[in-house]
Amino acid sequence: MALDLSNVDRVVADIRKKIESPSRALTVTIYNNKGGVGKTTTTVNLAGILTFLGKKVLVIDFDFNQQDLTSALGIPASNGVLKAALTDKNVGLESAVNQYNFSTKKLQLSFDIIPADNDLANESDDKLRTLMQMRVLYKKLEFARQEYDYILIDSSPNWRFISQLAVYAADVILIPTKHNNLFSLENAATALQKFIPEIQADKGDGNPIALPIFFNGEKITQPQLEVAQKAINNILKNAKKDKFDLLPYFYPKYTSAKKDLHIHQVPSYANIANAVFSRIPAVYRDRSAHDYYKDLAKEYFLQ
Amino acid sequence: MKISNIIGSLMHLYLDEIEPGEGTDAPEFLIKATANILKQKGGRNWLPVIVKETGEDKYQVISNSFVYAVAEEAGLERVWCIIADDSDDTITLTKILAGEEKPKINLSTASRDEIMAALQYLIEQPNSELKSVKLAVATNRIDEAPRLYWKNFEPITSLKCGITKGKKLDAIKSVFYLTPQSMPDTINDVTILRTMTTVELKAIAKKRGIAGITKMKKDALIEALS
Repeated sequence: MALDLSNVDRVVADIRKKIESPSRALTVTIYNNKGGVGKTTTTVNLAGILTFLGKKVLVIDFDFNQQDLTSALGIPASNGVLKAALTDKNVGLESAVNQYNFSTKKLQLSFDIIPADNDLANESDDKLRTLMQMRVLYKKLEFARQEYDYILIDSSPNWRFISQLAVYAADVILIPTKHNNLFSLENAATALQKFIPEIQADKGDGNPIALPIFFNGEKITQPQLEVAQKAINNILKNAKKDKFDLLPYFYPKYTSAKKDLHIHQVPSYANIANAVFSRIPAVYRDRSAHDYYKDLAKEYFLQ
Repeated sequence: MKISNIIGSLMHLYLDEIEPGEGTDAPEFLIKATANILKQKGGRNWLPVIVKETGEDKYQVISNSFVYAVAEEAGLERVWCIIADDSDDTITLTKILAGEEKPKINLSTASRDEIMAALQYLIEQPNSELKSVKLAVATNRIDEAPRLYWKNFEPITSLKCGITKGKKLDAIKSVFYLTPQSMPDTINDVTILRTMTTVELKAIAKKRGIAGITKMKKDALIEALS
């Protein structure tokens, strides 16, 4: 920005505002354009555990067709509130925030949620593009970056306009995959190679950055792990042909002296899946789930 | 330093001047097959045996005993050796570097990542006793426990992370050691108090002269002490 006499005061004020209120929230979008890899489960339980650990968390359900996150927490979907917040210049995103409360005799926890919006589910991409720009969610979240420690966005499993909004808004992208689902691995590679760099180029500040993938799902046996590693090696090889090094995203611990192929795992089992029926995050109901997600949070965010 | 100091040097020593020390437990097949290859490929042990000097023209193997056994099997007259000093630290270090002994880490002060790596190593061993242990769960519970004050490994068995007394705990002992600190006289930290038993808490409460101890439940005790 050019500095001259006419705007110097405003620019100085802007800079001062930035310095005095540094944005403290980390915005995490949970994305994989393959469905059923546990995006919503991850979002709900990460929100649960981060709240438990004393962080202030906002979750956003950006999967308007499924609305799983909203219903997993037993919160009604809105009819047009979020749409208004996103499309109307004069409406803030604050208006769409609801609260999720969890309390037992010993424990009182709550985090904020922006539920899915039925009105947005029915709109076509072309219509939406006429109403808003890709950066709208990122800009409208300005208020939240001061107020929260973590903003978690549950995206939908596609690369349509709404998903692009969610990825654009993020500082980091967390990609759940399933070891026994080849497509979830291949789609993760597509996101890493194509989608995320597209958004980075558009946004221009180096964000969003992808975090290494992790395995979500059934316990992995040794032979299954070998199959998965073989598939990953293939993906890495293909990416290398396009001069793209995906190694750090799949095998973050691998160095040239240490061929460490460990990938972070969050086992899923009946208790985690069933927690949905009680509208309570599994981490508040099950001690093992609690530990698994605490482990995930520590591995990726709390170090 | 003596002019004849040979520590650190590479020497071509006579095999019959070297004592095998503890020897290797490698299977005969590996020794015989490696000896054959050594003979075929020039007969020079590029990987030296590590020895210490025990007397005039007398040496003892301290690590790489496998190479020594192979050289002996191959019928070498002389073997390439590095002379190390004879301190216990050097012996332990070279054994660990050679992969002959397992290194241990201090569980009293280890970081979460170190604990996780150690447990992962144990769990992934073939025929591991800890196969059924859930890595994430065990790491969290051990990391969060007041291990700074543990005098032995018994408290691990009460963390409910699948590590029970016996073979499983023995496996744990093979990678960790403890340098316990003494418990501070006044513990106010709720997280530490919570890990103690009600009996222990009552004992502390009694020392501090808190009234009505007998009727107190654990939560009440923790509140009174913190």
